Amino acid sequence: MLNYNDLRDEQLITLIAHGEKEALEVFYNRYAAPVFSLAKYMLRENGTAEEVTQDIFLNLWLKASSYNPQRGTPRAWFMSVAHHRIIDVIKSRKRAAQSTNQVPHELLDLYPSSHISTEEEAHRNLDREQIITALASLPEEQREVIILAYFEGYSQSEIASKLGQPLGTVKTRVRLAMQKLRAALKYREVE
Amino acid sequence: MDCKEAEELLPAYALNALSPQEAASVEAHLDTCPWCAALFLEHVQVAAALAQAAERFQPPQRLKDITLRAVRGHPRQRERSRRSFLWKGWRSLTAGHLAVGTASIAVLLIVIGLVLGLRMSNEIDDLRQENLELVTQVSQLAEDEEKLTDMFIEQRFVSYVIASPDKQVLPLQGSGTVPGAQGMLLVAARGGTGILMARGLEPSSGDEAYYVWLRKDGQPVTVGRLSVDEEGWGVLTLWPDQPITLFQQVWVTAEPAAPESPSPTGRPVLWGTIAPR
Repeated sequence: MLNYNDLRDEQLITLIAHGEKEALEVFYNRYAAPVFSLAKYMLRENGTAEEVTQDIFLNLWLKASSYNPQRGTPRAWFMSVAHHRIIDVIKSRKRAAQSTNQVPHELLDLYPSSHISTEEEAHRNLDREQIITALASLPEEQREVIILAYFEGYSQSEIASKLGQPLGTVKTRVRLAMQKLRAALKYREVE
Repeated sequence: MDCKEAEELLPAYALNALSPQEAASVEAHLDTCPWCAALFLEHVQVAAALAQAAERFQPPQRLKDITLRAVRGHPRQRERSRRSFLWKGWRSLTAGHLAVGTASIAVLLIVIGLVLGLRMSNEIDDLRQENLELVTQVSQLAEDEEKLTDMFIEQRFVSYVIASPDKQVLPLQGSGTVPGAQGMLLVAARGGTGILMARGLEPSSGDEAYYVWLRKDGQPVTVGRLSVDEEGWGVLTLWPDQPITLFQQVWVTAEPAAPESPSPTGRPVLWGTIAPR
């Protein structure tokens, strides 16, 4: 019997693009937790995080054929697509002026995850610790733009307005921060 | 947009922090520039790593049920059901019948064993032995079935690539090492996977095997062993870790069958140039 769990992400995406529901279920099992966690962290609301997670996987079902390996590994591509969708929700909220009183993500919380317990947890906590350490090692002004851009969903122009800084300065901070994160992660494959 | 402009915007593009207009410009540039596309791969890996900083929560089981139900109810699923009629039929013929057959044999043997066990213990031993042999045979059949399933999946990938109108067809040249050797590399539309087909090669032997390599900046990466049949034909599906179009050359070399060499030990019997997309 074919065991879908043995297939690589890229193979699963190919099968999803051809309508294999079993492949989607395995892909869901692999990525539902990181997508849901990111959505919950960025949106800070359980119900909306569930809705957007469902939406992201339904979108994968419909548009898996748009996966392009030249835009990243399946994991990097899918997390980017998910992140983009979460930002859409944040932007629509902002338009509806429903989040004006939200406290921004000033610092990432460093509490270890205790909500799930699997064999992968220790390894995952190491990954998490590594990226949090890398973020913490950035100069304050660079960490600030990364948090505003990635976790708050602001564009570079919006960050410039929010901080009262020239757009060029923000672009430079983003670029330098990404270079340093890349170096700190030692080009580590996320997959 | 030129490469310099694109390189400045790539970090923010990976963070989804560009305006829609800027993002569209970068996307258009990446479609035509493999070098910036390769640089973008590094940025998007960093962005994916950032997602891991969020505290991990497990979504509720009902979310999975709801999501899969939504997928099931979508028209694509119905289309797929029609398409996969043969696939399902094939699976039921193999897996279904095997499972039913195995269960039936096991139940039958148990019943017979119980009845005869009252009178003829020696025959029970014989039946146990027979049962063991049957289980072994069924186990072998299951292994064969697994191989067939893998072959079937492989063939489906091959057919998807061949049927795609956007595939790249790259001819492979012989180097004269094996006279008459010919081949081609079909690269799938997105450049991630491909199929290498060759003919005119010596059939695979126990001592020597053909290996396929992708080369970038002179560095080879092996992507698999090419089995060649009695007719001299060989087909290999390529699933490299990076898109094929990021490499510059493909080589087929003859190597000792075991152990696998980290790099080619001789001249290629077939080789070709990969055109960047």
